[in-house]
Amino acid sequence: MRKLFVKYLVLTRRGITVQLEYRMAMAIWILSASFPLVMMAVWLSLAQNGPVGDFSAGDFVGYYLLSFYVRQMTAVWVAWELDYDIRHGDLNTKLLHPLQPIHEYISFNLADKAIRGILFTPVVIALALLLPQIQIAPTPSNLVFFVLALTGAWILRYLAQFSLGMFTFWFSQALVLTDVFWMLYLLFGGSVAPLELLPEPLQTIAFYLPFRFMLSFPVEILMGRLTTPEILNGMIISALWCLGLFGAYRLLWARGIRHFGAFGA
Amino acid sequence: MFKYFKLLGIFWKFSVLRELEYRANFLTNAFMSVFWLFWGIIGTTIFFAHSDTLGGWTYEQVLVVLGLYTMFLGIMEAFFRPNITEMIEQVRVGTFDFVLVKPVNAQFYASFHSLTMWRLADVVAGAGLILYALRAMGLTPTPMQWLAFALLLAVALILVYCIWLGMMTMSFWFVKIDNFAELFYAFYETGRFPISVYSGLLRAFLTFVIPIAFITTFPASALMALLDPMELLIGLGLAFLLLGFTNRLWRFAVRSYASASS
Repeated sequence: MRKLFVKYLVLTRRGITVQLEYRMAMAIWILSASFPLVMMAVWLSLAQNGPVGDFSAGDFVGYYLLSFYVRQMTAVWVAWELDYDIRHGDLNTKLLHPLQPIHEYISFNLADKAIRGILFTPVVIALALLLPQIQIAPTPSNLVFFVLALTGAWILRYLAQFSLGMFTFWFSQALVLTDVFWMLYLLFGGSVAPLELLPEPLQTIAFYLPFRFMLSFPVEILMGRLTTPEILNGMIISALWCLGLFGAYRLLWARGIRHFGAFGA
Repeated sequence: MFKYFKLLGIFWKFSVLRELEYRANFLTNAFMSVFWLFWGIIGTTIFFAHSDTLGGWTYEQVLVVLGLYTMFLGIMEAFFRPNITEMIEQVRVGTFDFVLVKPVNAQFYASFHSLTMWRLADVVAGAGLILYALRAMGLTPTPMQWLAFALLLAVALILVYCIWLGMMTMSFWFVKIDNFAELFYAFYETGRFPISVYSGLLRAFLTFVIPIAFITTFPASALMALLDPMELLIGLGLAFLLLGFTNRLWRFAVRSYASASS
């Protein structure tokens, strides 16, 4: 375990160096994740003449500001990395390293998270302090739950995308799955609209899918829209989804790697 | 001039032949086009569950905007995306020199020699949505409205080309930036909705700086008798100006291009 930790430390530091080398490209990736802000603009135009459902203009700003932050802090692109590495055979090199390849991919993602965290955490805190009309409820317990839920969101997105990316072992067009997943995430995760504002039956469907825990759940917590039992309940469901996706990852990896080896170089 | 049309025919023929090798791509692309279209319609429906209008536009009117958004997404992915991807790679590796020594205009060659035919599925899907929404409103545009629409489509095509030419030009200076297009798409997302949804500075920015309004909102207005003739005039002027500017920028960049070695 300690050995693994040291490896992570080294790989993440390497990752940060690499990312900083391509800082222009990184800045562009960060800016292109501004979809939540577009949705905020549209909802604000609706909230001009009074609140929409339970959401005032200030709620929308708070909601989408936090969504933006959660989305930045859970950004994952491993399906594209896997797709490239499998199709070009670069995965061979990673398989030779004395470490499960998923750890190498994760450490690179953690490097990105460290940079985005340093960039955006102060911005979000400053905005929350400077604009009193933004509606959030950062009590100490909410903050702790938020950090937990945010970590859960990242794990869920990572495992889901990694699992989908592995379908490239079998189909060359497997990235389509990731695209479909992405659309469902935007719709049922609470990016197009806060889940409370989804019309039926979309709202009911959303509560049975894992996407809520990839985006909306941490946001709802920090906005103070959930009671403690609701939060704990959500944490349990989220943990179950994590376990399920971890199982999917293990299964797909074991089978995929056998299939990959079957190409025989 | 005739030579260039002939060349265009040859380029596209080869692109199509190459794509016919990968027929599974057609299925996945057609599937994704339809899926995205429905996604967009559902998204629009969500807003209208809480209000009768969006930026003063009715549901069907917004669907026309969404149709134009989808059409131009297809056009950009079919005609411009493959070329910019290739050019960025060529500049990075140094093979762009071979484009420059060809006996055709380098800008023409770099902009148009490749085509991803399958993405035209989006153009069909978008046009279908526009026709559906017009029917649902019981609207039949007059010949004058069709003419204004055609003019604004031409303006939009020119503006879209200018934007992509501008991004291609950037690749001379920022080598290894392959995600400019993603950044543009982030702005393009705003084109799903009529420009009147956005307020103040953002609206001015999306009208004049990155003129998304002229790509989706104004052509849609033309079909539904919502167009202010002034907008058509401004559009023509903007297209003219931007075309001149980006052409000049391209020529300036080519002159200062020093290839990959050295």
